[in-house]
Amino acid sequence: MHLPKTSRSASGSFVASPENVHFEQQYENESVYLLLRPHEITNVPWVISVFVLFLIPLIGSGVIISFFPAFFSSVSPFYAFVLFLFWNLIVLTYAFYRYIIWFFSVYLITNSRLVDIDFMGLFHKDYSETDVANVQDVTSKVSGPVQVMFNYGLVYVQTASEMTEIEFEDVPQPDVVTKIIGDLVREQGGLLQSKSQSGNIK
Amino acid sequence: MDLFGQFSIDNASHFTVKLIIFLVSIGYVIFTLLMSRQIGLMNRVLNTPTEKLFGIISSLFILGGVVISVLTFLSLFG
Repeated sequence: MHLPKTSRSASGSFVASPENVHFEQQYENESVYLLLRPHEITNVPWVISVFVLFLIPLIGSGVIISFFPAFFSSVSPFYAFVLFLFWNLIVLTYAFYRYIIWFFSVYLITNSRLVDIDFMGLFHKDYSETDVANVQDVTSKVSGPVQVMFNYGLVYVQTASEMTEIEFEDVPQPDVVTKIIGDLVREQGGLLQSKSQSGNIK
Repeated sequence: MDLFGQFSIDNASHFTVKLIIFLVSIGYVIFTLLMSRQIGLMNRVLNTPTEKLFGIISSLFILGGVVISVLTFLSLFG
């Protein structure tokens, strides 16, 4: 199997042959070819919200001072400092929580299976998988200016198994992913049609 | 209360605000404990070399929450 050269660190969004990465349902002779996550750019909205949340105490205290000048004289500076620390701790926790959800929600392509592990919040897990031999159709779709600019999108895999479809959302280089799945299926003698679409590029 | 300058917090309100913050900090500690446990379970689903790092970070959050809880508790009843 020919794989593109990437960093082998497990923290990226497109990692070929990741080092020291194993998953719960992995077979003994099964190896992970590709580890995928949603592109890093999809994290930008929550990163911006974290910055805004960090700024709220500074902006808020400025507003309070201008409207209620006597307010802070009735609050001990130590207590205000503890509150400020607590707020920042909560914001940092939120950032960590969002990162963890992104980090552990992965798509894996192994030598025999396609695996989709989704964490929706801390307390909800979705696990789906399909054998490579069951793959019937692979489609990739890049739509919208941001996806075209950063080259990420949807890879849609249709299967002949009980679970009829598996979706890799917002993965980097969807055309490469489609090709890798296609090569893998052909290696195993499966029946496959492979297509690639792009919303903005013809 | 005069909105422009005379706003101040009386003792009863002080106590209520501190009590609310103390309860929130207890809630925060419980959440971080659950988060730490859940990260352990996530690591079992997808085992990566970052397990220890995530464990240390979540422990720091728990520690921070405990410190805040103790400080707010002391300011309430100390």
